[in-house]
Amino acid sequence: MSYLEMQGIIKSFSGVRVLNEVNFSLNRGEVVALLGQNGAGKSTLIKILSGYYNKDGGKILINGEEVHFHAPSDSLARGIRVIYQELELFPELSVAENIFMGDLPTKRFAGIPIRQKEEIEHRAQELLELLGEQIDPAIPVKKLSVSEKQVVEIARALAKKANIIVMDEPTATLSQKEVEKLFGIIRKLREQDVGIIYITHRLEEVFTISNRVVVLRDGKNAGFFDTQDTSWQELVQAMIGRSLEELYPRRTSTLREDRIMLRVDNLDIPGLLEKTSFELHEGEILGIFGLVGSGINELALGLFGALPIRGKIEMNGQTISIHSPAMAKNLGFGLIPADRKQEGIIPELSVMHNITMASLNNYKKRGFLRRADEKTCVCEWVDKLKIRLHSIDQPIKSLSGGNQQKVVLARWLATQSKILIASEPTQGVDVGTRVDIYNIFDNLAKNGLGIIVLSSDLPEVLALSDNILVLEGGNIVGRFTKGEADEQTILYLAMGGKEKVAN
Amino acid sequence: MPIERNFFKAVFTFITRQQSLSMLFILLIMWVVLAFLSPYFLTINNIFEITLQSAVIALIAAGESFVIFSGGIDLSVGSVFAFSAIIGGLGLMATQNIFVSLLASLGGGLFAGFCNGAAIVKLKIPPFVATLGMMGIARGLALILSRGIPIYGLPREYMWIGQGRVFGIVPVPTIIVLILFTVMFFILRNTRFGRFTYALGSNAEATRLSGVKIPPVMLGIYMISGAFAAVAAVIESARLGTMQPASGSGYELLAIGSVFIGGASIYGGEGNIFASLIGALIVTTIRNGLNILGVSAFYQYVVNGLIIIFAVAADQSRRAR
Repeated sequence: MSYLEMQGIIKSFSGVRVLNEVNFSLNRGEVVALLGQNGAGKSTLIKILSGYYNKDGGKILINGEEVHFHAPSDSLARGIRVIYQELELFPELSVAENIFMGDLPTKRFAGIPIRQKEEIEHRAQELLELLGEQIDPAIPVKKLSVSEKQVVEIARALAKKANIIVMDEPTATLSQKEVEKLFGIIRKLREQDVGIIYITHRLEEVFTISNRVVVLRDGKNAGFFDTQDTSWQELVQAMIGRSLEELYPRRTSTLREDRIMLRVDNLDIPGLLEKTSFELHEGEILGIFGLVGSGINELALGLFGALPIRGKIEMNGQTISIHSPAMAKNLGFGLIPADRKQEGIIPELSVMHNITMASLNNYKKRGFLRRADEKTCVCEWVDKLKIRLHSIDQPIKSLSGGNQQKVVLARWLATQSKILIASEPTQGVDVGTRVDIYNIFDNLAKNGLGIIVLSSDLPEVLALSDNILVLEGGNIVGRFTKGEADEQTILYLAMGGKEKVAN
Repeated sequence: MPIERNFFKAVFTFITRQQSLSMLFILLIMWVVLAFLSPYFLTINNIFEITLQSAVIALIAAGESFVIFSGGIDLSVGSVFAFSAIIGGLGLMATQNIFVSLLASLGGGLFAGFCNGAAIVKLKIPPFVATLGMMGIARGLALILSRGIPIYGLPREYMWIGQGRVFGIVPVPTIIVLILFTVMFFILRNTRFGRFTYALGSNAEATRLSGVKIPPVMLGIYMISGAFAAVAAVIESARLGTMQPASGSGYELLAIGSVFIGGASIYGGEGNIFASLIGALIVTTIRNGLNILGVSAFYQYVVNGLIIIFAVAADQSRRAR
């Protein structure tokens, strides 16, 4: 039996099972990679382990003894520490104070606690040296780099005598060099007999650092592997439930070289995006790849008039200006925003009203909306996009993420958009819907739409796009056509690697 | 008999899910209880009396419904009520023309609502703060313009709006309420503006990113709220035969309470305007009932406050399920 055992964990949210009898185990001194697509249940599992959610069924055993976590403090007391992507540090306090936050060693003078600056700095120094780091424990945390902050979080976990550390995509915002350094620290933690759950999307990291791999898919266990005995192919297959070839459509390009729909010249979004230029043709899928924080979302919002932009935009040869989403809509743009919950769905409204939100003018007669007309249009799109629902009058918030995304897509198809801007179109969407969305994009391109797919999912961008741009730090750092793009170069550029920009 | 039990269970869950229906049910129960407690209560006269008394609050609640469905709140309705009453009174004094007076009142309400909407859209102030400011401004203007003195001497034709009866029995305000609520119901349900009102309350950013121009919708919503406060003010002035600069104070509490009792969400995005009418009837019935039972008017404020708290608490627990 392992040090940590999670057995048959079940969790539902408003009637939908997100974890179905999931098993997971971890020994001390071991790194287990937890893999799965967005929505597979990784973060729910971790939130149950950290006491943030209560499980609906199953057991958690530590050292063979069953434990019950009702609040995060219960989990912390058992030596479990989660390091989230958004680090939870106090920027104004010193490194040492952050490390010992919660139980700062104090002396009391007349009952009033007095700060023990030298002592905690000394002890912080020791911990940081244990991790092989040179950070001055006296300086405020806000002066540190992201990777140094991460080290402080890890030291903090050690100070709390953590036996299990969960790292949630720790390398998402790190440079290649910093990633190497983090791996060094993880190896040191392993020597300290700490067990590590490592969540990532990057398979190469799994092979570098983990001992075992646990894969989740659609809230269920999809495989347990020893890292030495498995392969890329095998892991991907487990993650998506089918081989890569079946996931992406086989596209034959429908790009019409002679018809330029959109020409963007030196687009600036102050502070976020610089001098971005590109062209979009009729029937083209243009892929814009960038990691989180690269500016792809801002570019999408800027093109749609939701952020103030500078620069020249031509549509079908005529210069246009886009100052608001309403203007963009009238020009024939449609937007699938990256953050479906905050920017996409209108949760309390029905599926029908969500679909027709952008095209209400089409169902108007003498100022009043005609439900019959609305319904005809909605039913057509529900059929075409295979949206699964009980009734078009149910509120959209009761649909699954994938079906919600199809509704947002239908909203723009109902307005007869000519140019579709899709920002992270398959994030948090199940595999089945993903395949549907890819096929829909392919069909739309065949019908002459111009589609811009902005995504941090590289295989998706590679499989769909006729042309690919790479965005990093608000700048275009690479341009490729379908044939010449290779995964390694693009990823290297997207992570800030320097290379002469190919034109 | 299991079938019957299932039937009652189904009815019960239906009623608890639909707060507006359960409130209608509660209203009927209140009427039955009051009828037992007092022989005066369930007379045709008193029932019409209740619809008459509730007309003022119901109309303010109609405007407030738009605001609350859109995720905002309008605290200024009580003060705008007094402001538009006084504007109308001054118009009447100056011209002796009823139509000028009515238009002046309506204009005053629309203007105050426009200022609320503009402050929210242009100055980017939360509705709570913008309308709290207007609450002070409109009340102050009402007092300044009237020099703090009530206006008397309304013509008989004006008073007909508040005191007249059609067929000798149905009060004119009751008819105005029914017509306006029906119109507003269709606007909310069957126009783009109505759809956008709910959409704004549910998710303003997603609405904007659907290409909806938010500012005109926002202005419209708050102008409707102001206009309804003005209509309510006309009816009350006509009923009492006077325009008072201190009138309408505390009405925002009753109107907001009516909307919440009707089951609207404090977060916006849903709600039914006829449910707000039921809410207004409940608020008025409680006042009327307490009067008939001889309870001091001072207690009614306490009761109204408690009603708001429990109406929202009921909504929250419904949401948590």
